[in-house]
Amino acid sequence: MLNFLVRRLGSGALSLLVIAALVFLLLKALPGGPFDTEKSLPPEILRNIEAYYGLDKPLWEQFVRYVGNALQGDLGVSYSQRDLPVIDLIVQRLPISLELGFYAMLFGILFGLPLGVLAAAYHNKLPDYVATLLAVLGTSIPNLALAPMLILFFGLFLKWLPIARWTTWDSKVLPTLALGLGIAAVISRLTRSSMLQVIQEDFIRTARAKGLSEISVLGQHALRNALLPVLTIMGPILAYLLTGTLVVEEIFAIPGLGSYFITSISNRDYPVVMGIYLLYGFLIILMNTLVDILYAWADPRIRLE
Amino acid sequence: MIETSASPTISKSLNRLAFRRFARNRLALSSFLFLLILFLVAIFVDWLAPRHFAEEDFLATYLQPGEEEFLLGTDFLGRDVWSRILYGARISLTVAICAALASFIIGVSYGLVAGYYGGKLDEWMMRFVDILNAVPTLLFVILIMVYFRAGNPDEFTGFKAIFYEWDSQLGGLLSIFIGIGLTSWVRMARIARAETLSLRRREFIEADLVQGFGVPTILFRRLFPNLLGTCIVAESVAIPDYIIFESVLSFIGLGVNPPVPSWGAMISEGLEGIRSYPHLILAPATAMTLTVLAFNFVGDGLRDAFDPKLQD
Repeated sequence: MLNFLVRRLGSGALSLLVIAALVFLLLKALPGGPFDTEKSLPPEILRNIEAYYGLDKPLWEQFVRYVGNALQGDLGVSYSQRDLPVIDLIVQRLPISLELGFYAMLFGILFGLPLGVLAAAYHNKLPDYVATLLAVLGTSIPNLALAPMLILFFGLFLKWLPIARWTTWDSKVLPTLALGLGIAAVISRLTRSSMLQVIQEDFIRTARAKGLSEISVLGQHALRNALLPVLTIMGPILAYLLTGTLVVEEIFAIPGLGSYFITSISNRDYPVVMGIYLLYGFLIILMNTLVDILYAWADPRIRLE
Repeated sequence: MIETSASPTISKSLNRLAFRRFARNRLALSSFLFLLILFLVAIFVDWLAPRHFAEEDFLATYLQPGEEEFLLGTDFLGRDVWSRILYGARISLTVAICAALASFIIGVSYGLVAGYYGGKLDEWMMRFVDILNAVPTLLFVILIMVYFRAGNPDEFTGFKAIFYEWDSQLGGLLSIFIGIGLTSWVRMARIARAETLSLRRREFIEADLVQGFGVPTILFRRLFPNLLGTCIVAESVAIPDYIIFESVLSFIGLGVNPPVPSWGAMISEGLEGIRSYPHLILAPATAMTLTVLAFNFVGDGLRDAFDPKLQD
């Protein structure tokens, strides 16, 4: 297990480093520098400033310095806003995105899991068809289209819920739905197929033969074993959440990290773009590593591979 | 002779069986017809659309659907929304085809080489794929688009100037194809590699080697046709992603150049006036949903038809 752990963490760190190098090189290759102004500086002064910030060093040295600083929590300073370190911006805005992601995830599990179990329990009957239809719709409708439709229907037509911001609880419902429906669909789809497989196993027949109620057979014996494959999609779900927050936060005017990422792209605020990008890469690799470790812990067969 | 002639007939009837299975899948078939119509619309949109997508009319801004001769009303510049939706279909479908082609070419070549040579090369190539796979494709596409769109076009020289010229002629589509292609080949590479690995040990490849065929011939004339089917089906499942990528890029301002009508850009423009002019958002959102759904149904239908084992 320890061997597996070390190997997995090592390859995670390597991935992050390669991604950081890629982002660094791409952004370095962009034209224009941080000291470009309308009135161009005399070249010797520009050279002094660049030397002061270490921009005259070879690229690899700048990269090592960036990584070293990043490890200490220093991701540089925003180009477009006065006196705003990238790390402060992340600390300010990330909690909101995390909250949105957490609610969406919670909704996905609370809605998707029972739906998947129900579909498997009533295989090829009406609940199964309804669940499958919902799952297909949920996975196919892009949240760029879903979010405005939710606003139009629940916000403007029925007038039940506010259509923007992130303040009172009722303003959080629509963004959560816009992001969470896709997750619920994926989870219900996977739970269903995983349950259908487990139900055919011998120990389920044994449980039924013992005279256990159907609820305890499905809910305890089958579901516990069916959950393992569902665990593996937590990584892809996080990836979906990250890209989803970009769109959903922008549409609902939520002051999270995703909407700021978009703003900093249009402002060409490259240190911020790179900082947020690295954070996203870090979160995803961390999550994938955790899921792998959890999976190996839950299923010893994986460790041997 | 009997043995050699047996394999083509089997594969032909297998294909026929697969198409019959596909035709029996009513959802997939009607989605296919829908896409067929959409393709025709995209091709003949210049004759079908009542107006050009960029034609502005400042005396007729923000008209509701059905007002005057505008089926779906007009937007903030007085442009006909219905025409822009139709032209948007051309954008979405062009992206779907070209991005799929780009990712197909890159991915299959990469997978063929990795799978054919195997060993250390394969190991390193696949490790690189794993690393790329760690970050969501959309984020990579965004990064590359940031790179493409940065800088002052007037200062571009050499290759970059030529690229920019072509790109702006196409309304920004060229960089979108390349951006999506450069990032979305990863899954295709995996599939092509797995197929190549299993085909490489077959007798007909050994026979080619004995006959002294060169590696390029074996890769592209002998192996490639055999993994074509699997890869096309896999690619068709990925097409909805490309359409969504383009829409999201245009939504955040990294996609097509205005006034080229992309559904994503239309949603972004309509967001401002969502209270008073819901049609400006409802139209592109519906068009996008229907198209993505249809591609999904066709992709799933193809997959089920060609590989019934995968059906759950």
